[in-house]
Amino acid sequence: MSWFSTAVRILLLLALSAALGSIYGYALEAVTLVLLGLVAFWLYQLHRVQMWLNEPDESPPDAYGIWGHLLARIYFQQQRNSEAQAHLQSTVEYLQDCFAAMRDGVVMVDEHGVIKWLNQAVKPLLGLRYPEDTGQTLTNLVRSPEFNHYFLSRDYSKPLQYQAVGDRSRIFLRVEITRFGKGERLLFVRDVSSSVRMEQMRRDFVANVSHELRTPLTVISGYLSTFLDSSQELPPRYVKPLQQMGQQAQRMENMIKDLLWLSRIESEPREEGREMVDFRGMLQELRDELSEAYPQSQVLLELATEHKVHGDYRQLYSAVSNLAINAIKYGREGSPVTISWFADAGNYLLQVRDEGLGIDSVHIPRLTERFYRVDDSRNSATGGTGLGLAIVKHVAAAHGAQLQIESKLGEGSKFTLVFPERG
Amino acid sequence: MLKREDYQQHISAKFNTELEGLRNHMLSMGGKVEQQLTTALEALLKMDSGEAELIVSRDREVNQMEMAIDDECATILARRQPTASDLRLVIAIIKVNRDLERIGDEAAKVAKQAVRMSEDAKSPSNFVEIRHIGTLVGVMLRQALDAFARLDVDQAVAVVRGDAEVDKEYGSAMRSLVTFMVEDPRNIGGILNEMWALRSLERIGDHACNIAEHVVYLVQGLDVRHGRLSELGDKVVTP
Repeated sequence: MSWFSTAVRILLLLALSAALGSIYGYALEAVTLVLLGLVAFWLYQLHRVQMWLNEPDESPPDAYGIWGHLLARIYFQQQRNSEAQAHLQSTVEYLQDCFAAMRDGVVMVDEHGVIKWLNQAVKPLLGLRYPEDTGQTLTNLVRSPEFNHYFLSRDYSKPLQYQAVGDRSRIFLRVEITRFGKGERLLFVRDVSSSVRMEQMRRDFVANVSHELRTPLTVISGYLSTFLDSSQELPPRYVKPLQQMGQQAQRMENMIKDLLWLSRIESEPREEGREMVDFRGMLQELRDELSEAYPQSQVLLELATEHKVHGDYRQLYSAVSNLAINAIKYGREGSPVTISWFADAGNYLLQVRDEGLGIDSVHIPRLTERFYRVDDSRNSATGGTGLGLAIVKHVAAAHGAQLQIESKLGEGSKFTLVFPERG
Repeated sequence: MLKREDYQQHISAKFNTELEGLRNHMLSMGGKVEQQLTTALEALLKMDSGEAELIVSRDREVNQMEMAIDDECATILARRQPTASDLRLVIAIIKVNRDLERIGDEAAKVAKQAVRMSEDAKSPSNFVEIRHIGTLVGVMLRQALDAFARLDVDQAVAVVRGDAEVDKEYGSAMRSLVTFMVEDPRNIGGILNEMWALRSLERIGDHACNIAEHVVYLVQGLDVRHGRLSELGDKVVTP
């Protein structure tokens, strides 16, 4: 609208000047003069606009016509932009305040592993500074090899727990990494020293208690077997109780042995000392041993793959033998126990099947807990320690494998160790 | 004055990544060596021979890293003919690399002493000196590497000055260990092993100090080795 009126106004002005000029015979000169004046005026207005734009806080200069209209539009646009920006800024600040207030350490890292932002809590944990350290590569400052490996692996499905080095070596840190945006990463760091130490104390306690109990128990069972060796000299009514005592002492010894073994597996998740374990050889060795210990049982082997697993031979052997002994104990008399080693869908599976009592599905989730009993009579009847499956579970975890249990009451059970491809 | 951003200002993007990669590799080797030192000290204090043997075997990895980094430096020198601060970076890394490898060796020596000492009876000194100097030296190494990562001359100078304290502590530790030997000659065997471990720790302190001196060289082009830091004191300041 105002375009039109401005154009009309200029045309009227030109027509008027041409008319006035033609009276005196200088029409062309008059039009030129008026045009020059117009250009000068417009230049002056442009200059004012430029001056104003340099001072963004000032309100726009007064102007009429098209100029006023234009300036008002620009001013309006500016106001709206600065409002939106303030809103955005406050949202960003709000989020950063949120992270800053967190007790966990937070670090934002870009796609090249360069530090973008970090909060107060993370400074003492990782030994970082802010804002000086923005722009630094994170792994140059946090140099712990475990952290480095985890950070560069780009596989953050599991959190990392590691021990800091140097003068901060008493600190245990737990790091979780989340990806966002275009390869940016958000690190959450937490000091878990106290819970790690508690866990350590618990393990040490179990190991120490088991170790200390062993000595008196050896004395007791030693004397008991001496008594029983000369049982014909004992009054007959003592023979049966002494035999029972001997059996229970034996059971207690087995339990302590299992507890010690379990605490060893738990406390040694080391990579060193591992080898490529050939299950074929191991299972054959296991079968020979079982047929000696349980001559009435029938163990079948199905070896379908030659894949070798990177792991600790003794631990894996104890896990499989625990599964096999369970199967023999809970299988129906005379029914075979099948151990198979095969590949399936990218995984390698070790399966122990029996045809026996089976387990009610309500028990399955808790089966690997220490001393969990399906029913109380079962343990004492079979002489189990209640720790077998706990051992299996820990060995599996130490080898990156999973223990799967399937069972139907009255039909039998299937225990499967699933080793992922890379294992 | 060298700034971190300078490494991102080459026309060839490949050169940038090569220099940055070299820095990263050297610092991750530093991390490995720091861990070796920490574990060696722990093994010694706990008299855990199993852990100690692990360190000796891990030293091979450190040696391999040293060779790989040297190789990388040679490649960059041959291919890019770096000048000015780039040249200083490569030279500094060649030197720091060597110091780190020596620290790794000394840590392995500490671990070997740990194996030997785990067979002995408990020492009368209770390893107070080793614990103390070990902590000091660990902090020095960390700060020297941090200074390298941050190109922080102030911190590097602090590390160089801190070495004098380690030397002083080392001297007094030696005196107190000698006292134990004089008190009871049966201690001599064990204490001698302890002295060897202390000697290694003191050497690690010297190497950490060297690393810090290379940082000053890298950032300011000033050679502050062999006690020249006090002479150049005024020049080595950050604005």
